[in-house]
Amino acid sequence: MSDCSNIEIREALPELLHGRLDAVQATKVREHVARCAECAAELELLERVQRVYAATPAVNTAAIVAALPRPRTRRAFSLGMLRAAAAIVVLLAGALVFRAAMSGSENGNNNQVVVTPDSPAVTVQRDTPATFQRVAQPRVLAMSLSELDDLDADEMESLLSALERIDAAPVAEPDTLMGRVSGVGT
Amino acid sequence: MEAQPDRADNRDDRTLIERWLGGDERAATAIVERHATAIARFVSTLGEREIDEVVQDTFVRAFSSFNSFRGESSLRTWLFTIARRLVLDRRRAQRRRPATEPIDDVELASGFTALDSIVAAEAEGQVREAVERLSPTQREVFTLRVGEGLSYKEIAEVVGTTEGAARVHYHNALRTIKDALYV
Repeated sequence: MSDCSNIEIREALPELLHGRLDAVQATKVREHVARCAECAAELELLERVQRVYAATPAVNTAAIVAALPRPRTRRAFSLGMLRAAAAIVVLLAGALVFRAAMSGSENGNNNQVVVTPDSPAVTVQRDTPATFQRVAQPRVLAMSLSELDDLDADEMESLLSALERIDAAPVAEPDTLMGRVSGVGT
Repeated sequence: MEAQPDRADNRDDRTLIERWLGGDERAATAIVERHATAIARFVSTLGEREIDEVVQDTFVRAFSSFNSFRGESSLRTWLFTIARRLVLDRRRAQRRRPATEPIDDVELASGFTALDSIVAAEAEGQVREAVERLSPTQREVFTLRVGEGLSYKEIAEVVGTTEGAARVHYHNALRTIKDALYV
């Protein structure tokens, strides 16, 4: 059995067998095969081989599927990741509370008056032993409540006036929920 | 003449893989049903006796690696590659094992022993014998080309050779079979 010299057509025969040619190509190959005895014989041979291959025993797909691993579902966040994130949030919150508490305890007693040299002053009343200090100026003069008794009328008036002005001054840090500004002597 | 790749089939395979990775176990059945017979056919032509076992191992290995399947080749080509590697590994293991009975490489390479009882027609029996005369590489290439309709590029990926070499193997195999049938 000789071979056709048209190698392009011969290369296309297995493709024709499996329907992998588009309509134009398939028509071109079929027209050639219709008038070429060598290619017709070769295509017939390939069809015989294909029938032999098709006789392979069927496989038990159910048994194969049963042996397969389970899919590992892809989640945006696994349970472990969520737990770790929750632990980090709790730790950060604890650290912030601890830092605020330590900062408050370092800044003195429950009740104190903060006075700047230019006389803006404020009394901070503590709700808890450790809270916060509100500072409007870098240089601070602090006094205890008992020292207020030593102020004369002019000094007291000056202090109250300064307190009114300081209410309009920007704060250095955001207020915490643990303290509140109440005014002198309260 | 350029063959049209089965883009729709490849797209369906990728969809099924995504569904399975998303937890849909029914997609596994669809994937196996689409490809198991072709893998079994290929494995049988490699001379492997335990076809079911190799086909099952092929799918187990593939499903275990779907997360790393990049889809650069078709799923079926990838499965053929895995199956071929498994058959070669089994042959190497059998060679190393102290055999109680000698392993005949020629017999192992004989492709259609398992099909004797199935292929009854005489004409088909002649074809089978002709294919058995092919060298292992020729048989692989010829099976993938005629039995499965793979392109030379896909065959080269499976067998681990070049497209040109795959083309030469195919035509040599075809010549051998013609000579066997039409002398």
